[in-house]
Amino acid sequence: MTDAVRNEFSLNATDERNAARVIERRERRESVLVRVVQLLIAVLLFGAWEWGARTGSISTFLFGSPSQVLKLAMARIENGSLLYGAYVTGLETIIGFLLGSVIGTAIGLGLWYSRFIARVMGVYILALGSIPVLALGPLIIIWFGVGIESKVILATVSCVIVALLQAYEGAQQVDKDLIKLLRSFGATKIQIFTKVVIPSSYGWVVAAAKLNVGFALIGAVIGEYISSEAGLGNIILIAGANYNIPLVLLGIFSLMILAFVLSMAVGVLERFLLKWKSVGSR
Amino acid sequence: MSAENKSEALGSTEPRARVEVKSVSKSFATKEGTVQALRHIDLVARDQEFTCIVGPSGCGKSTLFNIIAGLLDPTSGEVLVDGTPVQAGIAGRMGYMQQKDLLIPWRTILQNVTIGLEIQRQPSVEAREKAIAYLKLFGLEKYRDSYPAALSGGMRQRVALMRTLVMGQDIILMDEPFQSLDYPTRVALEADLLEMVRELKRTVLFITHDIEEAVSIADKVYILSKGPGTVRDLRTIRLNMKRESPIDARKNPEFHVHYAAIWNQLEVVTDLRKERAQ
Repeated sequence: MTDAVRNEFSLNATDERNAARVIERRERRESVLVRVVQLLIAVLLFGAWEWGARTGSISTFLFGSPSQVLKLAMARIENGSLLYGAYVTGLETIIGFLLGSVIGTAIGLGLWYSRFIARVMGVYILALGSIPVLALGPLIIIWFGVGIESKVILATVSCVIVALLQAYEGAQQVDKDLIKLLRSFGATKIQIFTKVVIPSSYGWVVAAAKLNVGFALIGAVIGEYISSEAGLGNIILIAGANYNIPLVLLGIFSLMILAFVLSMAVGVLERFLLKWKSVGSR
Repeated sequence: MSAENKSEALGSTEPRARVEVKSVSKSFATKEGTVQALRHIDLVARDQEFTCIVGPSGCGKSTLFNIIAGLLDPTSGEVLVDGTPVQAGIAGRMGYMQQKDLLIPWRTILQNVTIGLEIQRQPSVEAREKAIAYLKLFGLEKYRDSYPAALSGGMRQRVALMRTLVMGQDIILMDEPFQSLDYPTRVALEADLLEMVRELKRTVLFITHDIEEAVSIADKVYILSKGPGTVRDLRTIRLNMKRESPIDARKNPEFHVHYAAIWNQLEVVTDLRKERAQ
């Protein structure tokens, strides 16, 4: 009797394991398929473009061609100018992103401490946040010069408001009962802040960071467009003025790759900070 | 030993009072004016006694607990714990368990159990050891490094119970702790709770609006009425004197007598229903 039960149980267990394996295999197959289709679209797009350029149905003067861009990329990588441009823009973006995120998050979380100050500051935060970064460009370049500093500041300003608002919102969303629980243990306000408010805002901070990588890059490139000595924005600006379409396109593709790499870095941050989410749902 | 004394000495010398609520009233200022939540509440919880408080929703049960726990000041009256008055701001003397399990999702089960000890700045090695002892006791040791999302509702509420017990306070306030659980899980947790309370000699104040739950686990039941909350009656139950099982208590023939008596005291609810029907 018990043996029969045990057999049935183990049978069910192996069945379950098999089912799990089937699902896993199906999922793996689908993610391979996704990659293949993604690659196919890119090949098709670039292939059509190249074919159009070669047969003359697409003007290479206005649109360039993939082979031109590729040739240029090789040359520019070899002489180091492309990588240097990417390095400058990347540095501006990363420093600006980090500064903006840290400052914004610190202020946003800090406002949790005082509802009064938060209410007073609300209107100013909104006012500052509604200024387009582009409009601040000339002022910041006059104040901080045409070098890397002004671009870092522009990138910082681009992120700070989003980081601030998200962190503040995250701090406000903390479960009131959870705070009551901690108070019932005799927690001080600082303990509540460090043990609950900060960690529970991680989700919001990560969401802000995902948006802000893009905003920081926009800030940096805007700065380079207004006045600069180096950077991908500088390369695009000069190439555009010279009607060097392949170089403009090369600059744009490089920005795209830079943005992609930075987003992946934020993804790593997300997996680290929100580890419990992925583990818990399994 | 003392539990046996208590059953023998029933009615003569009662164990010492641990929590005394003396004529506590509480009013809140709202936009519509002052609302009185509690009026002249008197109650006593004696050493190692299991005291239930039942009442319709909105009778200020949770407000009463917040006052007892020292999270809120009463408008008038006072709360004595072991003879000394409780003041708001001096929290941490009593364990407090709420309806929501309030497990912190980014902390592992073990870290969730130790949160209170951490706040009281106990050495982390000791805190871990204590927590692991409880995890073993409740059979949840293999989940100690899991995150709360991986646990079922009953397991999560067990963790919340451990988090309360591990603090070592011998007075525990429980505010509808099993309300959100399904019936079998709830009865199982009631049994766990009774066993723990008996073994660890804790004094418990337990809010519920489930009369069955109250009658099957309590030594005595305070019945509150609402608007504002006042003590309507005190009923001594002691069906579960030995705190063995809430199921056995339910089988006791006296169970239904108590149940019906308390139900009749709670007629406020039925009155309301009549009013609504009209």
